[in-house]
Amino acid sequence: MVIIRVVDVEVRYDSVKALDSISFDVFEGEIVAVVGPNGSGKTTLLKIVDGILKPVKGSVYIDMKNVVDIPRKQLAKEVSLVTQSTYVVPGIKVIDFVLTGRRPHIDFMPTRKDIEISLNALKAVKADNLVDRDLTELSSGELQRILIARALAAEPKVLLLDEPTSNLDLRFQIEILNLVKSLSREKSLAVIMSLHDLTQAYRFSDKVIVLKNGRVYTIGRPDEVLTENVIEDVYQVRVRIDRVLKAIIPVV
Amino acid sequence: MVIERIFRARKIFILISIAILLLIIPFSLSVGAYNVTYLDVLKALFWGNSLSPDTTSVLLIRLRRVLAGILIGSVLGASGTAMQSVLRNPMASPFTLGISNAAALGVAVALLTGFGGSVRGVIISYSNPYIIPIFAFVFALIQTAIVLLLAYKAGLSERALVLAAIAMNFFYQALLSLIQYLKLNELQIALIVFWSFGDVGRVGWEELKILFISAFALSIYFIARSLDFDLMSLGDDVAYASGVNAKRVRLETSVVAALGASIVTAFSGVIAFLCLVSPHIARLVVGNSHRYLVPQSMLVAAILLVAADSIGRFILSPVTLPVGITLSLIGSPLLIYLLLRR
Ligand SMILES: Nc1ncnc2c1ncn2[C@@H]1O[C@H](COP(=O)(O)OP(=O)(O)OP(=O)(O)O)[C@@H](O)[C@H]1O
Ligand SMILES: [Mg+2]
Repeated sequence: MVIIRVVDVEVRYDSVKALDSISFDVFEGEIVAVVGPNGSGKTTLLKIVDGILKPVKGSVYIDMKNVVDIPRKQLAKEVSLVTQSTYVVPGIKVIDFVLTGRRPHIDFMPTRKDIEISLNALKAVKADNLVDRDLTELSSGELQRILIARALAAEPKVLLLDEPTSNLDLRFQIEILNLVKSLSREKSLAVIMSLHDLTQAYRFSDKVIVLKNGRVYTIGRPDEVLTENVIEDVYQVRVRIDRVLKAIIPVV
Repeated sequence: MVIERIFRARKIFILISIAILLLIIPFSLSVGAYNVTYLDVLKALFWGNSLSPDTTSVLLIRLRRVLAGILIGSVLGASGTAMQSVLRNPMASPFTLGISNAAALGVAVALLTGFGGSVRGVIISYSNPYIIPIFAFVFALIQTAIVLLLAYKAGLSERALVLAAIAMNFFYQALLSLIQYLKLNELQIALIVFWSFGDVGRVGWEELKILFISAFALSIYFIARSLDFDLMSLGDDVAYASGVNAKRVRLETSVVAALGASIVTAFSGVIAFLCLVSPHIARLVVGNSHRYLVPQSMLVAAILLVAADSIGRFILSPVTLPVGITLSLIGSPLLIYLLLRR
């Protein structure tokens, strides 16, 4: 079932055109990787789907409803975005932080149920041992998992991740991506994540969107889309692709 | 379970603070130039032991101060916490909006125009005891409205708010100095200076009723907003993504906090320091989760204010020090201690 439909979207920041004629579908339980050079519009694309930015042209549909017609609080229940950077204030414990992700469901005060769901979200990212830690005390890998737990606490249908693996060491990168994959499979969560590492996009996604200068350069299954020619065209870097290892290696 | 332990610990800290406040009340009733023992106070409170009429009237006056301290503390503690969250600034308070200078200007204008009372020689005769608080309150409100309007025009970011407030604050200070320099005599200037020392002793029973209603409404509002305050500290974008309009919360909170602080200032002068120090102490105890932080800051502020007022009554006895002075004397070392601990 199609859960996200983006139709002919154009986005501007004042005079700068950040996205142009973007169209694609995302299915339930599908993992979509958005790749492209710096400034190609990956973050902007995620913000459009989350309704944080409004397109000047075209529309975004979640569950067949136009995003601009969905009340903010309702949309926040359906779509969760993990941003590239977050303020981390001292004195906030992990559990308090994850509870803020429940905000769209809470009218007055968090209930026992909200606390339980937050705790389950922490368990889902294997971080329930961190509940009473201060946010500022966490390693980047731990923090990234907590950020995902906060997003999951809203019990969304769509999870948006902006560069979830940057700042992480090799082990944590794999760990986070495996986690995303299993979450998506278990909860049939639709995931759109921006990635810089093309090998990761190749290995961990069902669909790849390649952006160049705010336009969809190509879109499709990783093995169809990620070819030497496409990558050289988009990044101006020559690569060799190992189809057995699913690895993309720059040739220098 | 760990989670339950975290939440229970915070609740226990809040209960302990309530207990401390309750213990301080009879102490505060017993200190002052007129001697009543702690035990006599307890007996009178719990066993209805009759006291001499003199003692009773002294105790009633002190009770008024204590109640004023608790209510003013609640308003300022909660407002300080809320403003620090929405302005994302640990030094913020409703007084950041420039309320105190505006209120002082209001007092000056009241005296200048003769509404506040006329001066003949060295004697000021007040025309009406409410005129000066009303002028202080109205000027504080005007200041708040101007600052919020300016900040609104500039996009309601936390920076816009603070800059607008600072600019207006200097303007008021200049106006105040100008009026003092050109138009007021020594006695009137002394009155403004005296007014600006925060003092809970000025609050009468009628004012207490108004304070009670304000403190009640304001604390309900801020506690209901507590999850939003948690979100605000994560940034406007994050708050918005979770369905919270950060700009609206910032605007509403500033209005409510400014109203509370203006009422308090009109009745008791400037006790700005409390807004700053109480949230910091409360944060050490219960952390940064506003569901607990808001009530805990209210309690800390109430305890500090009642304690400072009691100390001010005996430290230079028979002179009673205005609580604003005592509080800054106690509070600034506390704040420095907190600073160096980090
Ligand atoms: N707030 C903004 N105001 C003006 N222009 C912006 C703003 N945010 C992004 N842009 C511009 O829009 C374009 C797309 O930016 P975006 O952040 O979406 O790129 P990105 O693919 O996420 O880049 P990166 O890989 O560096 O994160 C860029 O040209 C950028 O300069
Ligand atoms: Mg980006």
